[in-house]
Amino acid sequence: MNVIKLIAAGLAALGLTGGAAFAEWPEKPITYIVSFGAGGNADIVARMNAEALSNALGVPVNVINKPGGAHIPATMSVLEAPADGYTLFNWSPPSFMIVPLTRKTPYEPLKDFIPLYAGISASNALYVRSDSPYKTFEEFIEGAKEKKLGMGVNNLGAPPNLSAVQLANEFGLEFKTVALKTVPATLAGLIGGQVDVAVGQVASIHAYGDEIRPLIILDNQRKDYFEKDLPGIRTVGEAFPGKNAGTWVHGGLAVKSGTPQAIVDKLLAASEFMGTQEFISQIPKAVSYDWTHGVEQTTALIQSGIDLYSPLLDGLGLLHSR
Amino acid sequence: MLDIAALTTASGLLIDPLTMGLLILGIVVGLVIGILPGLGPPIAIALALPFTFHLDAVPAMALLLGIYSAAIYGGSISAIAVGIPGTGAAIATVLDGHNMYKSGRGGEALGFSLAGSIIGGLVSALFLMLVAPLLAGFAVQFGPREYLAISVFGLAVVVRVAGKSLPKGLLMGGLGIFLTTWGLDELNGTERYTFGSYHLYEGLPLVPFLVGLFAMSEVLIGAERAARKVDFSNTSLTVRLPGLKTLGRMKDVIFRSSIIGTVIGIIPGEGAAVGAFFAYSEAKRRSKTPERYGTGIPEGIVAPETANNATVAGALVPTLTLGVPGSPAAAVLLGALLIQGLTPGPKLFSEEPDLMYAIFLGLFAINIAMMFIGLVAIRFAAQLIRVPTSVIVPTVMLLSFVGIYSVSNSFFNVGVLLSAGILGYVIRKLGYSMVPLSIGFVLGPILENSLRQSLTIADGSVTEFFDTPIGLAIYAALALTILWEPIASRRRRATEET
Repeated sequence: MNVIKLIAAGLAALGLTGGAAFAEWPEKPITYIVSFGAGGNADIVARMNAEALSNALGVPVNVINKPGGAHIPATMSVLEAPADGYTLFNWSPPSFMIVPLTRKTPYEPLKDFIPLYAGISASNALYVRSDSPYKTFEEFIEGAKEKKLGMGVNNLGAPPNLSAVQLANEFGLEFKTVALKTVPATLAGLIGGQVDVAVGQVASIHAYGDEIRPLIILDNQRKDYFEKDLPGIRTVGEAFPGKNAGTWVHGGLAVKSGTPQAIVDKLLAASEFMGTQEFISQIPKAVSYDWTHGVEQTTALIQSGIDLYSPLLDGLGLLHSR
Repeated sequence: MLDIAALTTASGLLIDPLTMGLLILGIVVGLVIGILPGLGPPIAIALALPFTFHLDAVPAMALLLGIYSAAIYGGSISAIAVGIPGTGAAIATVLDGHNMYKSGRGGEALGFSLAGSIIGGLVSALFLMLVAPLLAGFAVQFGPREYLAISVFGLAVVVRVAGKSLPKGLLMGGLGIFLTTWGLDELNGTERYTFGSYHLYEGLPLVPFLVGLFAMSEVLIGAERAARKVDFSNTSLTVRLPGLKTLGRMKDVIFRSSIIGTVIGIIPGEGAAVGAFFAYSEAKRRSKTPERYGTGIPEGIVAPETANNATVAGALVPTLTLGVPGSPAAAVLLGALLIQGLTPGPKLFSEEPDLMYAIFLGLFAINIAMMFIGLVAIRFAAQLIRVPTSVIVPTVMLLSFVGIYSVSNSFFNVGVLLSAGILGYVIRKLGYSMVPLSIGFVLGPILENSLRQSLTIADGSVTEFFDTPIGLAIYAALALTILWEPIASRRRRATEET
C-alpha cells in the first residue's frame, strides 16, 4: 500500500471524501439536454457550447435532444437527475419563460435551476415579400387598417407571436395569425404567399435576402448586432417614441438547484471561452449572440424577461395565475 | 442550366481521398443503423453531427448523405429478413418483402430492394441536379392548404392497403389518426389525453410507437408459435440482383416510384415513409393484378424501396433552397450546413455552386458505392434465414429496446414501445392490418395542423379555403383515382350492351 492510498483510506475513515469527490468532478461523460430538435439554431449553438465545455473539462459532453411537449419533458428530465453536475440543461425562452408563465408546470425555473450564462439571442423583425405593395412600415400600417392581413409567426405564444400581438395592440391592428411552426418555415410561407406579412428574426435576412423586405425591427432600443444584419432599418422605439415593442430571446446553460458550488464554479470557468471573439466568430451568420456570464447576471436577465412578458401575456389572457 | 465550371470544381472536391473515405464510412454506419429498429436516419445523422465540426463542408456532407441514404436503404433489410422494418421508411416493404423471403426467395427479395433503392437514389439525384432551382419554386408553393390536400390524398392510400377487410382497414386508419391527437394541442396548448402526465405532452413518440407496433407484436406472435418453420432451399441463400430484363419489365413502376419519391421528398416535412406508402399504393392501383400485392411480388418491394430512396435527393431541395427541411433527417442535415457557416436559403445556390454540385455528384457516388457495400451486407442478411426465428426476433427486439432508450434516455418511451407492441399483437390477433394504422399515425399530425391552419387562412370563406391551384389539382387527381374504376366499368358495360 503506497502513501496516497494510505492517506485516502485515512480520509475515508474520517468521512472527508465527500469534498474530495466533488473536487474530482468531472470524471465521467456529461449529458447536455436540449429541448429542441437536432439541426435548428438553438441546437447548433448548444452543440458548439457542448464542444467547448468538453474541451475545457476534458470529458465528453453529449447532447441529447428532447423536443416537444412544451419543453416540459426535457426540463423535467434534468430535474429528475441528481444535482451532481453530470446533467446540464440548455435553457431557452420557452422552457424558462413562456411555458412557466402560461401554464401550470411541475417546475419553477429560477427556483429549481441555477442559470450560468446566456449566449444565443434573437430580435424580431417584420418582413414582407419583396414584391409586396408595402414598401415602408407606414404603408404597411395603412394597408393593415384597410384589410385584415395574414400574419405568419412560428408558434402561438412564442416571442414572434408576442411581438405581433404587441404590434397589433400598439397600432390598433387585427391580423389572421397563422402559426407555421419554425421561423424558416414562416419566411418560406411568406415567400410562397401563404401570409402577407411575417415576424422573422433580424438575422433571418441572411438566408432570404432578395426574397423578403424588412419593414421595421420589433424592438425598443437598438442592439449592437442590428447594424450587421439590417443596416439602416429603424426599431419601433426609434420610429415611434412612446410605442412599445420589446423582444426577449435568450438561451444558455443551467444546472439543477443544489449542484455544489465547486461544480458551478468549474462550469463557469469552463464556459468563459464562449464569450471570446474566437468562439463568437464561429457562430452561424443567421444566429444572433448576446453574451451574459455569471449566475447573478443571468438570473437578472431572466427576471427582466419575466417582467417584460408577464403584462403582455396577461393582456392576452394567457398569463397563468400561480 | 448546368454550370460546367462548378461541376468540374465539385468533382475535384469529391475525389479527395478523405471525402471518399468518409462517404464509404457513412454508408457502412448508415446501413448498420438503418437495419436496427428504433434507430432511423435522423438519429444516425445527429450522432455523426459532432464529427463534422472539424471537417470542410464537402467531406461533411459526403459523410452525412452517405449515412442518410444507407440508413433508409438499411431499413429494408430487416423488413425483408425479419419482418420488422428497421425504419419507418421500410414499413411498406414488409408486406411483400417478408412474404417473398418466407416463400424461400429471400436472396431475390433482398436483391430487388437493393436494386430499387439504388435506382431511386440515382434517378432523383439526376432530377435534382438538372432542375433543383425550378423545384425550389415548386416547394415554396406548398402551404397549409396544399398539405391538407396531400394528407387527404394520403388517407385514400389507407383504403388500398387496408388488408382483406375495408371496414377494418378504415377503422385502423382512424385509430392511427386518433392516437396522434394525444398530447398538447400544438396551436393553443390544450392538454388532450395526457392523463395528467407531462410525459404525454409530446404525444405518443413516433419511433417507439411504430417499432413497438411491428417488432414487439412480431415477438409475441412468434412466442406463441414457438418455432416457426420457414421453408427455404439453398437458392434462397444466394443473393441475386435482378437482371436488366427483369428491371425492364418493371420500368413503369420504377419510373413512377422515383417521381413519387422525389416529389414527396420535395414537399417539406413529408419523409421517406410517406413516399414509400404512396408509391406502393400507386403501383398496386395501376397493376392489372392488384390482388397479388402483399403476397410477395417483386413490384411490391421495388415500388416502396425506389420511392423511399428517391425522397433523399427530393428532401434536399427545400432544405438547401429554402432553409426548410424536407424530412426529419434533412432537418439535421440543415444543422450541419449551418455549423459550416453556410446559410441554406434562396441565395445558397448562387453563392455556393461548387458545394451544391458536390452534393449532387456525391449522391451519385453514394448510390454507386452503396450497391457494392449493400451486396456484401445482404449476403449476410440472406444467411439469417438459417437462424431460428425464436432466436433472431428476440435479439432484434432487445436491440430495439437499447436503441429506443439510448436515443431518448427515456423509460417512458420504452413503455410506449411495450404498449404499442401489445396493441399490435391484439390488432393482428383480431385480423386487422397494422399498415393503415401506421399511415394514420404518420399522416395524422400533418392533417390536423394543415386543416386548422387552412381554416385560419380562409377566415370563414369557402372560396379562400379552396383558393389553391395545386391543392385543387391534388383533389381532382384524387377524385379521378376514386371514380375512374366505376366510370370505366360502366362505359365497358355500355359498349357491351350496344
